[in-house]
Amino acid sequence: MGTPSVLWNVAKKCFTVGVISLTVSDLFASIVPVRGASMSPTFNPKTNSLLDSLSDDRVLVEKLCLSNYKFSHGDVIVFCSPDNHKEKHIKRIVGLPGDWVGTIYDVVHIPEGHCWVEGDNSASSLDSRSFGPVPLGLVKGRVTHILWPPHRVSSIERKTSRNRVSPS
Amino acid sequence: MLPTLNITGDVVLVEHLSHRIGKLGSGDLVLVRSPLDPNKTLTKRIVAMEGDRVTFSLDPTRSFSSRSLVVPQGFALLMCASRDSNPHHSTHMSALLSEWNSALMFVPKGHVWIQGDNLYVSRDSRHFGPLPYGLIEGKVFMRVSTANSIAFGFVHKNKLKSPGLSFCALGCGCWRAVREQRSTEKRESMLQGLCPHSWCPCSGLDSSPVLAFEGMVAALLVYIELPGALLWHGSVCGSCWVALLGL
Repeated sequence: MGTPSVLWNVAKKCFTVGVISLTVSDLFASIVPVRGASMSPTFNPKTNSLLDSLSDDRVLVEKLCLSNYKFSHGDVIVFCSPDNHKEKHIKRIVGLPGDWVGTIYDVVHIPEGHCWVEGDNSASSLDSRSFGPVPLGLVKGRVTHILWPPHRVSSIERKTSRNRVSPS
Repeated sequence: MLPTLNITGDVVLVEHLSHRIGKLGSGDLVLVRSPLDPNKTLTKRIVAMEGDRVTFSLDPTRSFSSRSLVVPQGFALLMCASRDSNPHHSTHMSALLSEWNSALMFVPKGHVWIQGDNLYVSRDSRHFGPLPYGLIEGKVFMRVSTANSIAFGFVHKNKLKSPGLSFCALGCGCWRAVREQRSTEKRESMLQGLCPHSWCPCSGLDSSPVLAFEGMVAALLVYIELPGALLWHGSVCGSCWVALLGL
């Protein structure tokens, strides 16, 4: 009667590993692929017409920052789209609550509990310039490292443009 | 949320499944992350889903009607049309209509409109606008205990009445306000601007109470079945048709 107990042990181990990895990916960190060219110099620098998912960047998203929602200018975040909760976007924080952010048309005051996000590739990016400030509650994590294409493994540094944002 | 949940604090059971599979509807009690402070969570009731129009009053203590109504698009059109084209409104009614029209909010795609059950103290969508669906964290389906005694109870779906009925209630409210007026001239002037007639921009309707009642029923029928109501009401002028065909 060796086989059933071996199977049972394997099943138990699989279940344990599954639960642990689910918990880790839910609470601490997870790995997500980046699609599209909206963050082009930082992620997916080569825009190829062939949708080759292997060449997409894989990034590490840490979720410990969600315990107190403290972000700073220049952080790259993952957030749910305000228009469609099933989509997730990766963008860079430009303005935090209380800031004034200059757009092409006017200067926008960011309300309490919101942030202003923009893609690095402003030509092909759907961001706060089209849907306005994003509630911080929609943020799902902060991108810290690029993991997948082995020659591009690196950490993400904060980039800020001081001339566009003025703290109030 | 006072009539539903206690002021001393309740323990509620929340399930995290319905909002992921999109099974939430208006009337559900939900747990949401506050858009103003992401560290806080709120318990509110969904009043309207994406695509609806909502009228509300910011200060229910001073307003004519404290209820929030979910308005389908056609009614909004009719109300706007009547305000613009009917010069016979009494000041009371036009003030009411303009208050309602100015507070008409469109709930955009991917958003919901949430409100507390206790309108007088609740800070909800009336202050911070429509709420992105992604901020919903779960649906409250059961109340487990109150502070000092354990009591089980399902939290029921408490939907606002259908817009037609609410509008009829509004009409009845207006009618009661009219009846309470003592002087005849005042009553006459208010009747000229009574809402069921002011929805129809035809001018020169006489002000008998029977017609006012007829207007109320017509307003109800407009919601239930448009063509039947048009036949029944009979006297709908051109701009009304335009507004209705624009539905």
